[in-house]
Amino acid sequence: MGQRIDVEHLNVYYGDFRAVEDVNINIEANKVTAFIGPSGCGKSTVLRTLDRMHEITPGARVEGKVLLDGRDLYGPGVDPVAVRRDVGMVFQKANPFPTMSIRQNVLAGLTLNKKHIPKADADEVVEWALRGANLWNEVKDRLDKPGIGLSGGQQQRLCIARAVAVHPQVLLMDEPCSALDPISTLAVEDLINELKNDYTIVIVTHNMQQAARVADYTAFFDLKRVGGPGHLEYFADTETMFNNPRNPQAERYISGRFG
Amino acid sequence: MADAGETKTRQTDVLPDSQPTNRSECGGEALGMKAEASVSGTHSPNGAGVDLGDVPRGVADKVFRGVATGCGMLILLTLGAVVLFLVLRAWPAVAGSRTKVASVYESLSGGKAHGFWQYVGPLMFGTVLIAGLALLIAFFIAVAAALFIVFYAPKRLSVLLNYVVDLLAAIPSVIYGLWGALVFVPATYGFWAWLSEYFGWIPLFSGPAANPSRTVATCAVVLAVMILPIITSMTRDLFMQAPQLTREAALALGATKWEMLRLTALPFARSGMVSASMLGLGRALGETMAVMMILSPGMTYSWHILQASKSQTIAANIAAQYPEADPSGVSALIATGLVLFVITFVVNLVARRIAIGGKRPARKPLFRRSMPEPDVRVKDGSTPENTEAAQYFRLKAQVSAAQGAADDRGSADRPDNGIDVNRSPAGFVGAGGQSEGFVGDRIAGTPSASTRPNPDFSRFEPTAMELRRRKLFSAFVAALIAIAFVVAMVPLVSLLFTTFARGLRRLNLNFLSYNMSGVIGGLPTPSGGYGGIEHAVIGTLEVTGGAMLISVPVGLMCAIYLTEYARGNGFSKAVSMLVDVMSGIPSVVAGLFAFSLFTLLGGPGVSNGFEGSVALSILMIPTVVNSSVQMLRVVPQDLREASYALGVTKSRTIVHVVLRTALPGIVSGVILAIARVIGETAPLLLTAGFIATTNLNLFSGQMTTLPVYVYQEYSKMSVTCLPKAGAGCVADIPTERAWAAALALIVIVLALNLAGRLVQRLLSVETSK
Repeated sequence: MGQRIDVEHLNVYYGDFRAVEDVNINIEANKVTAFIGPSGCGKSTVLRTLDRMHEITPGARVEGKVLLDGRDLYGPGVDPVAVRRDVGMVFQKANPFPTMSIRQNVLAGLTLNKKHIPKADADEVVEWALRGANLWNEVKDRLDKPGIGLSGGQQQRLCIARAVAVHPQVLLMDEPCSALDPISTLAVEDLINELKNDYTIVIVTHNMQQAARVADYTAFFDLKRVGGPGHLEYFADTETMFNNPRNPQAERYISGRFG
Repeated sequence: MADAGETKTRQTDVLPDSQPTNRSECGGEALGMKAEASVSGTHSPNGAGVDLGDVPRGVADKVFRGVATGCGMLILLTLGAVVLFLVLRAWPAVAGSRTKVASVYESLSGGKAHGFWQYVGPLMFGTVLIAGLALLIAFFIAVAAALFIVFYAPKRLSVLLNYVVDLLAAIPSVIYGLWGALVFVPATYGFWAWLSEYFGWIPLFSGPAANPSRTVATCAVVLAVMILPIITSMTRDLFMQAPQLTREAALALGATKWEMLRLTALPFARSGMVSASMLGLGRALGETMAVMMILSPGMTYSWHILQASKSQTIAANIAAQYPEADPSGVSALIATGLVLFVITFVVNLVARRIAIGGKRPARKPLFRRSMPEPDVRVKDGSTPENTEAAQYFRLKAQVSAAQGAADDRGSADRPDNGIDVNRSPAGFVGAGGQSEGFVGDRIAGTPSASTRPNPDFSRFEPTAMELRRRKLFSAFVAALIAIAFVVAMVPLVSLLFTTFARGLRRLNLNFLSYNMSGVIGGLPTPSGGYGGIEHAVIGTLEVTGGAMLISVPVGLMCAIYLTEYARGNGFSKAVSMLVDVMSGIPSVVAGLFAFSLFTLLGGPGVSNGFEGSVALSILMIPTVVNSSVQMLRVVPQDLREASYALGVTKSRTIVHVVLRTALPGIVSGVILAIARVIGETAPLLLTAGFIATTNLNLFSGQMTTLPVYVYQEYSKMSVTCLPKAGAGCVADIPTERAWAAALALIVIVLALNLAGRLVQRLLSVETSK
C-alpha cells in the first residue's frame, strides 16, 4: 500500500539561490497527484526533494519538512539511501543500465542488498515487476538480452518495473512520457492508473491533457516573477483544476493564455 | 640499401617542402573566393543564376579533396618509409655474416652477447618488466584518483585538480628522470632496504638492496608516477562522460555512492580504462630519459628488482649506446628499436581492439525500432494486427465497452479549455479482434492474481544491519579512494615543489639571456652569472616550430580526409589504422629514423635542428590527427547539411562551417601536441645534438634544446672547485642549472596548457541548445 506525503514549509536552495519558496502540500496515499506549471517553476525540484534526489546536485539544500506517513525524511539520522528505497523514481528519459540484461535491470535494486537471491525468488520478482509494468509478455522470451535493446516505450516501462521491484511506497515520475510517442505514452498512462492501487504516485508533466487523464489531484506551480523562486500557486482535485479553477493564474495557464 | 635510401629521400623530400601546407592554405583561400563567386552567381537575378555545374567550384572542390586525400596518403607513405627504412638499416645487424655480427654485439654488450637475439633478449625482458611493474603500480591508483576527482572531490577542488592532472600529464619525462635520480632515489633507499630485509624471501625482493637504489624497482615507481597522470586524465574524461541519467537511476533505487559507481560509471568506463592503461603501458615501454637517468644498467634475465645492474630497457639502451656506436653498431641498435616498435605496436593494437570491442553493443542494438511504428516487429511472423499496439487498442476498446460510459471522469462536461480527456485516437479503437494471452491478462483489470506471482517482499526488506554494512562499505571505499588519491599526489607534488624550489635559485634574467660559451667549471662568467639557457630556448622554439609547420597542415588535412571524405573503404581504414600505429612509435625510434636518414643524406655525423624537427613531427602528426578527428566528429551533422542545403560547396562548407566550429578544439589540440613534443629529449639528443653557443640556423649545425640541456647538465652532476678558485666557485652548478632549465621547461609547458584552455574558451562556439 502507498503512503501519504505531507510537505510543510518547504524551501529549496541551490547555493544562495532560492529555487522553491514555501511549498505546503498534502499528497494522498494511493492517489495520483500531478505537478503542472511553466518551465523552471520548481516542479521537478520539489519532486526530487521527495526522495532526496536533489542532494546529488552540488550546493542544493532544503528547509522545511517532508513527512512520509508522519516520518520526516529530513529528520536527524535519516539515511537518504533508505528513503530512496521507500520512494521510487522514474525519470524523464528512460535510463536502463546499459551493461545489464532486462532481468538484471529489474533486479538491480534488490541485488544491492542481497548478493545472492535464490533463483526461484528472483524469477518471481522479475515476473511480478514486469507484469506490473505491462512488459512481461513482450520480453519474457528475452530476459537475458540487454535492456537498451528495447524500444523507447518499453525501456520506460522497464524502468518502472525496476522502480517497483524494490517494493516502494511511493513512485515519483518526472515527465515519464515526454520522450515517448503517443502509443507508448498511452501504455504508460494506463499503467499509472493501475499502479495507484499499490503506490502513491506523484507525476510531473508538461502535458495538461496527461494531467487531466491520469491525476486525481493536480498542483499548479508558478513563478512569482522572472528569476524569482517557484512556489505552489494552486492545489485542487483534478476535476476542479481543469473545470472550475478558483485561481486566476491557474485558469490562465490551463486555458493556454499564459506560459 | 642504396635503392632504399633513394626512395626514402624522395619521400621525405615531400615533408621538408611541406607542399601540402602551401597547397592547402592557398587552395583554401582560392576556393573560398571562387565558391563565394559561384554562390553569389546562384543568387544573381538573371536566369543564368542556377548554374550548378559551375566549373571553378568543381575545380576548387577537387583540389581540396585531392590535398586532403594526399595528406592521408602521405601518412601511409611516411609510415611505410619509416618502417621500410629501419628494416633495411637493421637487416645487416640481424642477418649479416655471423662472425661480423658477433663482433658487433660483443662490443655493444661488453662480450656478453654474440648474436642479435642474445643481445635483445635481456633488453626485451627489462623493458617489459619495468613497464609492466610501472603499470601495475599506477593503474589502480590512477583509476582511484580519477574517481576521486570526478565523484568525490568538492566541485572547486575538482576543477583545480583537472587542471593539475592535465599539466602533470604534459610534464616532460626528462624532468621525471631528474626528479627520480636526484630526489626519489636517495629518499627511497631506506624503504627498499627494509623491504629486502623483511620480504627478501620473496625472490622479487631478494637483497641486498642496492645503494644508491638505481634499480628496476625505483625505475618502475618513477615510470608509474609518470604514467599515472596520463591514465588518470584519460579515465577522468571517461567518468565525466558516464551518463548522469543512469547514475540518478542507481541512486533512486537506493544505491549507496559506491554501489552507484559500481553499477554505472565503472562498467561504462571499463573498456576505456583498459585502453587508457594500454596507452600508459605504451608510454612506459618507450620511455628513454627517465630510465637512462635512473637505472644502473645490466644485461640479465633477473627478477631481483632491488639489485642494481640487472636490467636495461631497449629505449634507454639505444640512447646510451648510440654516441659510441659505429655504423654496424647503429644498425644493431636500430634492430633493437624495431623490436621495441613491434612490442608497442602490439600493445596499441590490443588497446584499439579493446576500445572498439567495448563500443560494439551500443552500435548494434538488438531490438531497436523506429519511432513512427514503434512495435510493429515484435516477433518473427507477427503481423501488424497481432502487435502490441493493435492488441493494446483492441484491449482498450473492450475495456471501455465493458465499463460503458460510466467512467468516473467522463468526457461529457468538459469545459472548452482545450483539454481533451478522451484519449483514444478514433482510428485505432475500431481495430477489434480476438484477444490473446496478453489481452486476456489485461482484461482482468489490474494484473490478475492468477498469473502474476506474488512475491513476499518482506524477505527482501533490508535489515538495519545490512543497510549499515552497505553504508560502511561505501564509506570504506571512499576512504580508500581518498587515500589512493593522496598517494598519487605525494610524488607529483614533490616533483613540482622540488623543481620550483631548486629551479628558482638559478632561474633569473642572467640565466635566460646567456648561453654556455665561456663557462669554465664552477666559476662565474664575466657577466656575473654561471651560464644560461638562451641558446636552448631559441633552439627549442625553432625545432618545435619546424615540427609544427610540418605536422599541423599534414595532420589537419589528414583529419579532414578521415572525417569528411573517407568512405570507409580500405584506404581510409588503412590511414586511420596507420595513424594509430604511428602514435605508438617510441620517440627514440623516431629519433633513430631521422638520425639515420640525415646520415644518408648529409654524410655521417650530420646534425642540425631540422633533423630534430623531422623526428618530432613523426611524433606530432598522429597526435594532431587524432585530436582534430575527434573535434571534427563532434561538429553536428546538421550544420553540414544546413550548409549544403544553402547550395554551398563541400570544400567551402568544410572550411567555413566545419573547421570554424571545430576550431577551438583543434587549436587547443595542436597546442597540447606542441606541449607534448616540446619536452621530448631522446629524439633530439640523437638528432639536433648539443653545443654551448647560440645557433640561429635551423638547417645547419648542432642546436641545443631545453630538454637536452637539462639532461646534459644533469649528467655533468658536479664540477670540482680548486681551493684557489675562491668563494665564487659553485661545485654543483650543473645540477642547479639542470633544475633551473627544468623549471623553465615546466613554465613553457604550463603556458602552452593555459594557452590551449584560453583558446578553447575564447573561440568556442555553442552548437547545442
